[in-house]
Amino acid sequence: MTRFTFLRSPRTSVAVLAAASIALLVGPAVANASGSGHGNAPREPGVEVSVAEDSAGLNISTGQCGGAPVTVRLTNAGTQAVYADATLSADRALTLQRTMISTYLPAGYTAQVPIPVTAPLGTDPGSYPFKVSAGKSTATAAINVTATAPDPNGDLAWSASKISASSVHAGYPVCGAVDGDSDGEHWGTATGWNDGNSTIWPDWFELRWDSPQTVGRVTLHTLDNTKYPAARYGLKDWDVQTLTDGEWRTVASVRGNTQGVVDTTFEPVRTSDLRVLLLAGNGADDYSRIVELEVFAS
Amino acid sequence: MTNTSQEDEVRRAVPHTRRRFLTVSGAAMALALGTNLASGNTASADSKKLRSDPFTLGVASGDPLPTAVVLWTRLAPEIFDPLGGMPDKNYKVEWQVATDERFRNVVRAGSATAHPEYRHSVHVDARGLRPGREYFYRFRAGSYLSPTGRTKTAPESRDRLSKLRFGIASCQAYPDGYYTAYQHLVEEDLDVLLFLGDYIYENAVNTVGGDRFDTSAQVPDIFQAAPVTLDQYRLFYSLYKADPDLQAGHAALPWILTWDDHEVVDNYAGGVKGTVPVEDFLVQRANAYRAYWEHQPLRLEQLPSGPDAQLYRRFDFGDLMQVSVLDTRQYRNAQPRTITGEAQMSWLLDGLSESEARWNVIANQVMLAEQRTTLTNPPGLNVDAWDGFPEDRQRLFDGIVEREVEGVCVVTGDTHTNYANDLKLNFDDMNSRTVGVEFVGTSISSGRDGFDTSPQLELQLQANPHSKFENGQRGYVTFDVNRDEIRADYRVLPYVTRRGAPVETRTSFVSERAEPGLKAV
Repeated sequence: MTRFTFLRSPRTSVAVLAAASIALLVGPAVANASGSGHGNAPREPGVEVSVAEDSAGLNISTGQCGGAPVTVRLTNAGTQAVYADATLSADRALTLQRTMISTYLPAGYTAQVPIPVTAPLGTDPGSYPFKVSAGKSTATAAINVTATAPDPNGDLAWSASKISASSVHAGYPVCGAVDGDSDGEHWGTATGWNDGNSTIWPDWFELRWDSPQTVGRVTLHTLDNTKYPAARYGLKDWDVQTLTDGEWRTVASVRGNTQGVVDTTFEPVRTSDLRVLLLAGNGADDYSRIVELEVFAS
Repeated sequence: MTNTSQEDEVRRAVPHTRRRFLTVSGAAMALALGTNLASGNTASADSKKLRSDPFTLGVASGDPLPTAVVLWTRLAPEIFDPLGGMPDKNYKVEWQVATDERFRNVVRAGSATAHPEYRHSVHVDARGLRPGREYFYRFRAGSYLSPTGRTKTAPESRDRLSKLRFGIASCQAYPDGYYTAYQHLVEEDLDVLLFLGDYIYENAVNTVGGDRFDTSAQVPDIFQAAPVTLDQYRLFYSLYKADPDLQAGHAALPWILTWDDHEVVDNYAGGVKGTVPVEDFLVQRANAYRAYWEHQPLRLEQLPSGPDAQLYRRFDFGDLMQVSVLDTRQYRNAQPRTITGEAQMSWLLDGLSESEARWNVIANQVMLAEQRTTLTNPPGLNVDAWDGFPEDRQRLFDGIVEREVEGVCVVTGDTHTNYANDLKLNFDDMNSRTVGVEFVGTSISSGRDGFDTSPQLELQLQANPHSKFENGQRGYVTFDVNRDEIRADYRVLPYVTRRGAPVETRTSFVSERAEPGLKAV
């Protein structure tokens, strides 16, 4: 009729025991180390930080795509694995991708973490300090900033303050598509953009400017080289759109493309935001791939 | 059925010992999450000094047992700050469990410590509850009170249970759309939700949240980079968990979660991801696993130790349903080829063999049934799924036959597509035995708005006679389980890139325990 339910089922008892034993294992095996006080076991060597560019410093130019990563190294000099926190700081003129690195560090392991550093368009050229610290260990490096000149050919993509895309495939950054390198043979060397999800459409690639620009021509270089011809690997269908009153307006459309370079011209418009809405590729792996996107007044 | 004398005893004990419960539970929690986790930080900050609401990421409950459930929250007044906007100090968080939404009848209460090393996440294993009961819970930090969550304990494991309702969900890429599905799921009156992987995606999220195109979102630039370090993975959880529909989903019922690949990186296999050195990838995996545990209602047994975590585990729902939760990512290996690893496969087969439940549900990530993607010979197959590991699949099916396991029902995520499959002992022979059924649930948002069918899905239906249904819309699946029959309702939404989509049942199937096989309803 009734059962004595105070008794645990065998499985539950095992689970409880497992919890206790795992907890006992976790504590000593994996400590927490950080730059701000929580801890290492006594006499255990801590986390050591360094910056790869410490002596020469890091050279960057202004703008989102003029930035470069400073390489922060976190070394666990101890004999136990730790979860470490390092704090990062730089002169206020600079933009750091983040102000903290937290990572698991096995004993003896060095994590090398690239931290993108940018100086907004208009930043005064000069040398600015960067600092990283974890516990008692600190390291510094100089960030040397030069001004990015406008493109002599009038490519407005160079003066965009913000470049973004629907998604990004590792190794194919958005800046690769606005770096002045339109040679498809350089594909795979970070000089082009590839979206992050195959088969999922539409994708988009967007440029934003701090002030309105007059745009009337867009040149899109899709992937087209000996190994990866556009007819199989390039973009097939897309719309060129500008943002007006919060709405995307199509100013040009391309359908059924099989070429590597496509020029689209349209009635010039004033806009602070332009994107290519990518609707379909030519099949192979079904990704969006842009080697270079150029935007001109006419 | 229920033990009346024990219930009376508990009920009598509550009013007199509430204060004592508070002390005892508090001490138990400290033992569970404090003492044994190394922390040099003994300073405890005054929770009254919190300057803004720390419960920005909601509350959650999970892994229900007959007398216990895990309650989760995290203190994070600023979601995009690497420390969640919290000082680098321990905080005290109080919690309560009640039988009513207004907390007039509090049956358990205590306090837990939120540690900065775990980014002030709180995992309370609330014990001493009654089986198969609905409870309400909440947290307090300083003067801030969390939203109230509803949860439910599992029925007593040996009790005869006549029916149960559960759901499955998976794949919620934030930039692909809104989590409207959860607005509907919370109205379904489910006992538990099984989440089958791809809770976060490592893909970049732009300032407007991708196809959500929410110009008020202001997603910071750090989300343009795929996460590798722990701080980055934590931020992805902050972004996802800030979503109000997802929070509502967690607050409405207990979840049992497992992961697939995107919680770390697309299509990783064990210690291998492309050409990344294994030593470096295991550090990334350790970071991803740690952030996962911190942000989910999981017990201490699931806390990772570096790159290793025990996520495969088992739950009982009376004598009606046993759920074996798999981890088909962590133990993948090329030689010998395996998707589960030896230990997990033995554990799975042994558990199925010993099970006394009417239904044996396997919570699985990637499709178990064969799925030919072409009509060619040999056919195209997805080698990231079980189709890439046919030896393991055969071992499982042979084990089910040899051990005479009945009521096998596999639930699966991953593909952003609804499927309903008969699991054939030999997929090349439709006359071979059906060892169980597989219900593959579509995505919550991944894949954007979706489509009812496509030439590819039509082709696959033709190429896979054991597949009875294929559909590319968004949504989730609900299940009604009774002693002889399981019924699946495929609930679909027409779009997710805009808010407010309605839900409808696209199709339904039943399978009988005595004679497994899909039947259209």
